[in-house]
Amino acid sequence: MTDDPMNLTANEASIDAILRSMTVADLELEDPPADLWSSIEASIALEEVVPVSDNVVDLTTQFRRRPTILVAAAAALIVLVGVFVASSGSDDSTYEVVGGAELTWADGFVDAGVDASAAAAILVDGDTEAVRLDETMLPAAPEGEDLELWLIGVDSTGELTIQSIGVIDDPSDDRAYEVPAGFDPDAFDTVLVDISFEPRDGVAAHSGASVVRGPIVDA
Amino acid sequence: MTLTEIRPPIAPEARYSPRVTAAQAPVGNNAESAFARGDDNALRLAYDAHGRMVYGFCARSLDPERAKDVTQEVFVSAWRARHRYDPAKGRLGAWIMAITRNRIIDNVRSEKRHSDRRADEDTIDLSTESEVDATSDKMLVADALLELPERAREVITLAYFHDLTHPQIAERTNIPLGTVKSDIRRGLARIRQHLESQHD
Repeated sequence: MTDDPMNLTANEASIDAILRSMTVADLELEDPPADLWSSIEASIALEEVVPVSDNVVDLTTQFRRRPTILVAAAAALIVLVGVFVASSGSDDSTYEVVGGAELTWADGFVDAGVDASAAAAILVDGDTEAVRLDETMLPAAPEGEDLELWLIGVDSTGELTIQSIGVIDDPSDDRAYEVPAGFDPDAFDTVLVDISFEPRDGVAAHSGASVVRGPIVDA
Repeated sequence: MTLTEIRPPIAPEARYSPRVTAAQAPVGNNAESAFARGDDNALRLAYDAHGRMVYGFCARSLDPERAKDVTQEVFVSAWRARHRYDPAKGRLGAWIMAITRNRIIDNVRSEKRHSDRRADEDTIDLSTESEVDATSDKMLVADALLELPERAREVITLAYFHDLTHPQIAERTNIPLGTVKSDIRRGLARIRQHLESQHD
């Protein structure tokens, strides 16, 4: 090329210079990781379900737990609660840590969570999974409300499955929260850990008032 | 828009194929206007059209984990800020790449400051920005090249990536020498349009 000047305009010359600085490797743009789109989709969808507008009713329908899961979860809890009580507390040495999540506040979450953070460890013991909260810096729930722990699964079509894991009585304890057997984290492209404020109003669905949230990554 | 409304419009295996022609590629004014309006599927189309370029830019500037995170942040931020995108002021790809550039520079600066607290911050900033800008230009040009008509793409590839002279290209492709030169010039001008953005 250099042997053949073409009297390029400034605009053309600027591209000519960039092309000359490139190698074939610059043309080989690799595909983003396969799960990246679902993470983007989940991130945006979860922002949009936060009830900062009048859409609350509409949006929280997505958060309504499915009756079948509730039944399964209730059954599983009855079976597992005895086992769990025995193995919870400070000794979860029989559990293997298989993943973790850094939970942070985001735009649209409750204002009280702006400085909040938490780490969640995903524990497995046989067929039993549990979530343990570590390094929690969480605001106290407002009067008449609780802090509640959730898992949010996003499948390959973008559909959300929201599963309550339990009410957080004391964020600083090292209790592990059992994941109900009806919720299979492996069935989803992305699973997020979420902590919300939940009014004691008898409504089982997620209020949309998230405090912190973060995606689970493998340990 | 809800999550369920932004389903993939095309099969995953068809995504990002370099064999997708300009006519098939989900870019252009309609897709860009749809993005600015926040239409359903518009973000997915933008990701399909520009995801490789954004990720390629991040992967060349950051470690793999950060590259993935920053790519995600870029598309989420772009979608949040879509009302600020004006198709009349430039191509969507260039606008998204400007967001990517700023995110990468923030990340590179924080990494460098972390690894060498004694470094002169002005020096870091200048070298960082020029390196990142150069990578951004390369990724935009690589992406724009894919959208050129096939003959122009071939001629430019032979000239710049196989170091053939114009007469050698004419001989190799059986295209008249004058046409080789005009294809290159027009190609350069069209690539330039991809890089232009009058957004603030």
